[in-house]
This record gives sequence, structure tokens and C-alpha cells, in this order.
Amino acid sequence: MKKIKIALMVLVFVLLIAFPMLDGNLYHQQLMNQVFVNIIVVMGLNFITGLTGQMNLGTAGIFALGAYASALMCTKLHTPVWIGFPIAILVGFLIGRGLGYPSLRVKGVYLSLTTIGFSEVVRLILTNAIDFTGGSQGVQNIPFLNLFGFEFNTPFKIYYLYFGLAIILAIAAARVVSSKWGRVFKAIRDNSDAVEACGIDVANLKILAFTMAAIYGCIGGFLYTHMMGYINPTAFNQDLSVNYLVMMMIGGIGSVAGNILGAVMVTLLPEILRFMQNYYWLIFSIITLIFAVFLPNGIVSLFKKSERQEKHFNIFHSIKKATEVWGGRLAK
Amino acid sequence: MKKVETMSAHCATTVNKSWFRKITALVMALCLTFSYGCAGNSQSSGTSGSPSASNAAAGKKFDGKITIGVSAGITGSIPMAGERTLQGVKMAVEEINAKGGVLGKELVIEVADDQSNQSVVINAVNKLASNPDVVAIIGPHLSGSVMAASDTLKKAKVPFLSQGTSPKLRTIGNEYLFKIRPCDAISAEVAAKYAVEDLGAKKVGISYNNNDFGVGGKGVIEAYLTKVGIPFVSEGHNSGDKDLTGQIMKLKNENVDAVISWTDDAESALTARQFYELHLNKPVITSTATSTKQVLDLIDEKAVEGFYSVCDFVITDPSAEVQDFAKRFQAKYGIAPDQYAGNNYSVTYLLADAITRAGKADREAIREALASTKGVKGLSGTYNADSNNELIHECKLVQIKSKVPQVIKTISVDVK
Repeated sequence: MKKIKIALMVLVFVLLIAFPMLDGNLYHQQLMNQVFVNIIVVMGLNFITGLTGQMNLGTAGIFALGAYASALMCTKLHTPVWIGFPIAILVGFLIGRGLGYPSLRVKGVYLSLTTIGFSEVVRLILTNAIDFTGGSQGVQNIPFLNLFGFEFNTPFKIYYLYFGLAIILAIAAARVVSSKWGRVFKAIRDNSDAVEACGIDVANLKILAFTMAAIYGCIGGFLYTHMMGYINPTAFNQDLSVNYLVMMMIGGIGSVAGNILGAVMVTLLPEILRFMQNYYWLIFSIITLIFAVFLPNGIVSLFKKSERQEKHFNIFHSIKKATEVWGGRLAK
Repeated sequence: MKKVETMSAHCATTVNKSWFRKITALVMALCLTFSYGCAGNSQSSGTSGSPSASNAAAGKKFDGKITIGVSAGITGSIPMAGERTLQGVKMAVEEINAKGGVLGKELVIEVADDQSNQSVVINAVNKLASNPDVVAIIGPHLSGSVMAASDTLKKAKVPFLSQGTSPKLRTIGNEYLFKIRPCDAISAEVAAKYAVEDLGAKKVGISYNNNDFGVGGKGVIEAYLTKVGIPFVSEGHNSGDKDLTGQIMKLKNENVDAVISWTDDAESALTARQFYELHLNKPVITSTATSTKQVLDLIDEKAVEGFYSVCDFVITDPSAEVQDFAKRFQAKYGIAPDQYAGNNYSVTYLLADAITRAGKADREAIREALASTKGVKGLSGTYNADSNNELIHECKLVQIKSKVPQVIKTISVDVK
């Protein structure tokens, strides 16, 4: 089983490495870059909403602050572009602590409300502080990332950088999920009173989860801004927060693999469906709905269930079983 | 015995469930693969639509196809604009094909929904630009979307025609961007010019919104008034303000002869209402907002009577072309055309003309043809390209009479 899994991962890895070389289409490369950014943000959201079970609807605000912090540093202060990366982590840390401290002490729906409020406040400030942020016309001419004089100025070059970063952050996220922290996060989701009774400071751990979510979100925003070259506040609306939530739900809550699958699917599917012209968004929504109804635990549950039920992942085995059952029914 | 039976039944249902799950997954995966396969070859077949069918019926022969891309916000925050855009373009394409197409070839469109959202705009224009058959793009239409798409289209060397009116578009230095509506700076200058030359104002009041649009307009108006030596008073307000008494009383006490109001939809309605309530009784020239239906619906007839407004396309324009277009559009779609329909209908003809002048369906040749546009008639004026790639240098001055905007004058500025 483990061998198959590793072989599959290596295969996907090789395919992804080879993809931009085989397919020179800039549109496809640009889409894949967006997928990498979305994977990073969703893995962050997974810490607080997926694992800890605290509904965060402010991802757009976090993402926007990460994006704007780096964009404004580069364009106003002309700092080197890579500085944006530690700045994004710092901003994420500040959001996590600053917003998490007051809002994670309240329970249930109030967290959703404070996070929605936060993201709207961010958007309105970005829209109205015209002299500082450029207002609704946004920030133009944001430079591309460069490292040691090498500029990542085409989707092809950006692809490999973001691919590498996404892998590193995914490994980090997967380690956190299966660490002590990850298990406490899950325990808080399942029964926070019991966790508290064990002598664990629940509020503090929630803030920790939220801080990690904010850091991942801000890194995503930083990567997004240097990929797009232009940002304006209209993109960072409530739809964006919900979109990230949908990615997490579709892929699989609480699992890094699920987050990756969800981000890939929700980013690519509407683009694949574009050939349907006026109906593409309708069809996309219907497919999303089908997934939500039939696979409430996400795409990843398809693989997990079979693992637990049948000890090993063997689709032929289950098909054989199923045909036996169906055959038995037909015989009756 | 019974227990064993229920157990096996239970077992059967779980197996059944997982079987069902896998089938669902398999079907979905197949759907995806299938749709992806379709996506690859849909580009030529899916886009031609009814025009080719009707022409095939008419027995006309085309020597190949010329594809133009359309990036419009069909879903998203302003879907109505996207729908009208598409209707306008489709109507023009059908007419052009009925007359024999362009360079003997059939004109077809490839549409990409940009959702009026900057991330999606990038994908939409990337998709259009990655199709080597697309020779030019109509849209994206919001100034913000244009800024997002600008770099991509510049690198891909695809000429695109946009309705964005922000003066900031002048500064991005993209020779592939063509602007098909008068820049806000042109409209503002027209308003100031009319106040001084036609209304004979000796002192002008300016009421402006403190956002990009308002402050930009105010700057242009002040520059013009300074140039011609007319004193002025400027009073600003913010988006969402509910009371402008202070600002209006100031203008009133300064004894201005005319007021130019440069603000957005909701604030335009508020300004008009409060001007009336506070008996300003001076001629008022406003930005485009006041001549649109959604703003006129917010104001009482008496309050807005006699207001002037600067705009580029109005359906009540008495010119034969506009009236003819309005009638045909109404007959075809059962709805009155708006600015989006009119301008995009008109620009499709401009693009067809540019392709004809270029003599070949080549991106660079079309860009050069568009950049040397001279005296091409359109619904909102005559298209003349200047060094900024702005194509329209005239505005209609309308006066609101019984809530209907009546065109009273067309004012042009110099082509730079």
C-alpha cells in the first residue's frame, strides 16, 4: 500500500515537473501558478477551520493584507522584493495574534462575524485610503520576484518557484497535522470542554491555529501579488473567502491531501468548463453541489474510507465484492 | 440466525455504498476528461454560433474565419453590462457577415467571461490570447480590469479595445490598448468648456466626490478654468454622504453662476435633490451619472429639470444612426439598448474596418491599423486615434427635460 502511494506521488511529481516543458501554453502555466497559491492559502485555512473547527470567513482580508503589504513596500519604499516574504510572515503573525486574541475567546457564530467584519474593514480601508493604497485603482507596476539577480518574470519561471514553495509548505502543514498540535486542534473541534478539562489552554491553541492560518494566507497573498503585477481591492471580497472555504470542503476537511485536491479542482474546473460558454458557471455550481451532497467529507474521503474498510486500497477487490452482491440480487 | 442476516445485509449496504461512491467518482472523472477533451477543440466549433448557420442557409461562401475575442463580465458584479456587451457585439457580427464578412472571411467571436474580477480577467484574456486565431479582443471594460489585463496582453501583443475611462489608463503605456469611450479627463474638460463658453459663467462652483473619479475630474476642470482665467470655488464630499447642505450653502453664498457636479450615481441623485431643496437656481452641469436611467429613477422630476450632463452614448440621440440602431436592437432582443450595447456594437464595426484596412488578420497589422484610425463614424462619435490610443474626442451634452436626456450639443476637444 505504502509503495503504491509513494509511486503515485513520484509519478505526480514528475508529471508536474515536466508539465510546463511539454506544454508551452502560458494560459495553462498561469492557471497552475494560481493553483499553487490557492493550495497554500487553503492549507492555512485548514488549520483553523478544518482542524480546530473555528469558522474563519476572513481569508480574503488576510490574503489582501499579505498582498498589499508586499506590493506597497516594493512600489513605495522600493525595498528588494524578497523582503516581502518575511514581511508577509510578520503581517500574518500580527493578524493572528491581534485578531485572534479578542475573537477566539468568543465561541461559535461570533468568530465568523468578527472575521467577516475584519475582512470587510480591510477591503474598505484599501478602497478608501487612496493616497496610501491607490484606492479602487489599486497598485500598479508591482515588480516580479527576484532572487540573487534571477528574475521570475514569466509564468514558466514562476511555476517552478511556486511549485517548490507549495511542496515545502505542504510538507510543513502535513507535519503539523500529525504532530501534537494537530491532534490537540482536532480534539478542540471534537470536544473543547474535554480538552480544557485535560489542562490545555484552549484559547491559546486556537490563537496558534489562527496565527498559522494567517501566516499561510499572507504568504499566499505575497505570491499572488508578485505573480499578477497589479492588485486592486475589488478582488478581495467576501466571495474570495467563501471560495477558499469551498476548496477546503470539496477537497476534504482536515487533510492536507484533501486541501490540495480541492484547490486544484475549484481553480481549474471553471476554466475547463469555459467551453460551455454562458452555462459554465451554472454547470460548475451544479458539480460543486453534487460533490457537497454525495461526498460531504470531500474527495479525499473516497480513498480514506476504502483504506479503513478493506485494510488496503484495492479497487478491484471492491468491484469484485460489489459484483458479487449485485449478482446475488439478480439471482433472486 | 436473524442477527447474522441483518449483519450481512448491513455489510451489503456498506459495500453497496462504497461501490456507489466509486461509480460516482468514476463518472465525475470521466465527465472531467471528456469536458477537457471538448475544451481543446471547442474553440472553433463552439463559437461561431448562429451567424454561420444563417449564412450557410443563405448559401454564402466564406474563405475561412477571422476570430475576435470578447472579454466581458457575463457573471459577477455587473452581469447586465456583460449581457448588453455581448448582444451588441453579436448583432454587429451578424450584420457584417450578412454583408459578406471581412476580407471575404467570416467573422466569429470567442467569448470569455471575466466576472468583472481581476483574477478571472487575467485567466479570461490569457485564454483568448493563447488562441492564435484570436486577432484582437473587445474588452475588458472596467478600468481596474484593464490594468490587470494590460501586461498580459502587451506581452502577447494582442490589440484590445476597452471602455475604461479612467485617466490612469493614459499612464500605463500600453500601445495595444485602445480606448473607445472619452476619457474622464475629456468629459470634465467638456463640462468646464460648456460652462464658460455657452453658459457664459463668470464664476464657477465645483462640487466633487473625494474619490479617484471626482478628484480627477476636479483637477481637469480647475486646470481649464485657471487657463481661461475664470475664478472658481471647489467643495468636496465623500461617497456615502447623506447631507451636503454645508457645501451647497457655501457655493450659494459665493454667488457662482454655474455649478459643475462631478460625482457617482447615489451622490448625483443626492446633489440634485439638495440643490433643488436649497433653491440654488443656477445651471448645473454633471458627470454622466445624471443622464442614466438608474440615477434619474432616484430623483424627482422637478429637481433635475434643466440639468446638463456630459455623456457619450444616449439612446435619445436624434441622429439617424442611433435611432436606427435602437429600433433594430429593440426588435432583435426586445429591450432598449444602453451604453454598453451601443458602444460595443459600434466598436465591432470599427474593428472590422481596421482589419479591412490592415489587409490581413494579423495582430500587429491590426494594431497599426487601429492606431492610424481617422474619421471612422461610430454611434458615439467619430473615431480618431491619438498618441494615447484614445479614439473618441467628443462628448454629447444633454439636457434633462421631463427626466429624458435630450442631446443639445456635441462638443469636441482637440486630438493630441
